[in-house]
Amino acid sequence: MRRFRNQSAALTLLELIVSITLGMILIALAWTTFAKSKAAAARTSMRVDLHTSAAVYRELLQRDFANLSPATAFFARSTPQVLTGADKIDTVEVVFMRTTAPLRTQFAEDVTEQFMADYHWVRWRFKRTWRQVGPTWKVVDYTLYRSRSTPTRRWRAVGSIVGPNFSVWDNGSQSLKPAPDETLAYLNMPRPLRDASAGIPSLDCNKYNTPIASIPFGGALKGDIGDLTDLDNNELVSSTRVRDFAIGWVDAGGALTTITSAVAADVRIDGLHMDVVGPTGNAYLTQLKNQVRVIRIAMNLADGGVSQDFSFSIATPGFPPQFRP
Amino acid sequence: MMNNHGRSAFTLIEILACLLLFSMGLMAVIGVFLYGLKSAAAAQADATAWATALSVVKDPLPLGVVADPVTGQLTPWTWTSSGATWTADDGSGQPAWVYTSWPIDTPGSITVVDMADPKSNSPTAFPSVATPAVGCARGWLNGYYVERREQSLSSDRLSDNMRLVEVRVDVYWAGYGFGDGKPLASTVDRVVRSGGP
Repeated sequence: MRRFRNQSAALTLLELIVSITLGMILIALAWTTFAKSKAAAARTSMRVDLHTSAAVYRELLQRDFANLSPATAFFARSTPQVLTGADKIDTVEVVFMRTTAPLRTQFAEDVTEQFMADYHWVRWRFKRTWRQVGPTWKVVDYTLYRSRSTPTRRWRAVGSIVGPNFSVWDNGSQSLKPAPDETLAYLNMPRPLRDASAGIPSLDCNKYNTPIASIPFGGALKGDIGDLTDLDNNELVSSTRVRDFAIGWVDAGGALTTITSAVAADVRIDGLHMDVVGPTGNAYLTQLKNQVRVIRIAMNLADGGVSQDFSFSIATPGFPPQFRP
Repeated sequence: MMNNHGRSAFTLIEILACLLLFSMGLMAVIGVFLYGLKSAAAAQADATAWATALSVVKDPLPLGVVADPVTGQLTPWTWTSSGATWTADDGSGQPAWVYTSWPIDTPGSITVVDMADPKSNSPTAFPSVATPAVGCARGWLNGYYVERREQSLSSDRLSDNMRLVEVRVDVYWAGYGFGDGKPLASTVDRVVRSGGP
C-alpha cells in the first residue's frame, strides 16, 4: 500500500490524543480484568478446595456412621470454654463403635478372629482454641481429629490370668477370645460396651492394670491399655480447615438432638440388646426409641477469605425387627 | 507497507487495527477465564452436589447452620414448630429451609406434582414465598438450592405407623433459575417412614 505524500508526516495531535486515550482505556480494561480475574480465580479455587474437602470429610463420616453398631454405647459430648492454661478450649466429640466387613487378607487368622477384630471404637473430635489478645478472645486454632481403636491388642498366652470364654458384652469383664490353634489369647480388644451410663471415660474400663512384667508367658504386643487410651494414642488430625463442628441426630422415636461447641452437653445412649437378653417390656422399647437413626453433621470450613457452611445427613444401619423379649 | 519516507509514524488506521487485535486477544483471555470458572463450578458440583442430594433424600430437615463470619462458630437453625420452617433465615429475610410434613397415619395417598420432572419449579408444589405443598421441602444448603418432594400412595401403607415413601431431590445452583435450569444432581429413592416404635 502506498501512501500519499501528505501522509508521510507523523500523527497529528488529535490522532495522537485519540490513540493514547484508546490505548489507556484498553490498558485500564486489561488491568481491571486481570485483577478481577485473579481475585475471582483465587476465590473459585478456594471454594472448590472447600467443597472438595467437605466431600472427603463427608465420605469419611459416611463410612463411619453408616457402619455404626446399634448394639454398643453411643456418646456425644461438648465442653465449651474450658480454661486450659492461658487458653480456652471448646470441644465437640462423638464416640461410637463401628463394624467393618471382614478382610480375609488382613490377618493370618481364622474367620472368627477376623470377625472379632472388626469392631472399632471411632471418635470424631473437634477442638477450638481461644487466646486472649488485649481485651478480646480470639480463635487461634481449630482442628478436627479422627481416631480409631486398634483392632486387636493381643497378648501371648497368659494362662494364669486368662479365663476361657469371658463374655465380651458385659461390663467389667475382660474381652477375651482364645485362639487355640495359635496358642495366643486376644485380650483387651475393643470391647462392645453396651452400658453408656458411665460416659466416655468408661471406655477405659477394660484396662487390666496388670504390669507386663507380671505376665508369666511372653509379653504384650500392644501394651495394657483401655479403649479410651487406645483412642487417644491413635488420634490423628483430619482437618485444620474446619472452624466449627456440630452434630445432631434423629432417634428412632423421632426426637431431635443437637450438640454444638457453644453449649455444654453430655449425651449417653445405651446400645440395643440385639441378643434380646436385655430389659423387658417397655424398657426395651424405650431403649429402641433412643437409638440414633439419622446422623446430622454440620461444619464451617474456611480457606483464606472464603468460608462455607456444610450440612450432611447420614442414615445409620437398620435395626433388627422389634422383637420383645 | 511504509512509503519511501521510512521515518514516518503509524497512521491512525494502523493503530486502530493494533488496538482491535489487542481487544480481540483480551476477549479471548476473558473467554478462557470464564471457561475456567465454569470448569471449576463443575468440579465443585461433582464434589458436593451429589452428596447434598443423598443427604436430603434421607433427611428432609438437615442440620442447618449459620456461621459467625469471624470465629466460624455455628448457630444451628431452630424450629418454629414440628414440621414447619426454620426460624433463622439465609440473610435475605426468607426462611432458609421450609418443609411441610404430613402425618404418618394419613389413611389416603399423599401425592405431589412433577415427581418425574427435574425442572420442578412448580407454582403448585413450590410457590415462591409460601410454604411448599404437603410432602415438599426447599431451601439453601451447602451453597446450593435444593428441592425435595415425597409422595406415598395409600397402597404404600405397611401399617398405621409405617409406609413406603418415594422421594425425589433436585440440587441446583444457589438461586433458582441459574444457568439452564437443569439440576446439578438429582436422585430418586424409596424409603420406609416410620412413626417410631
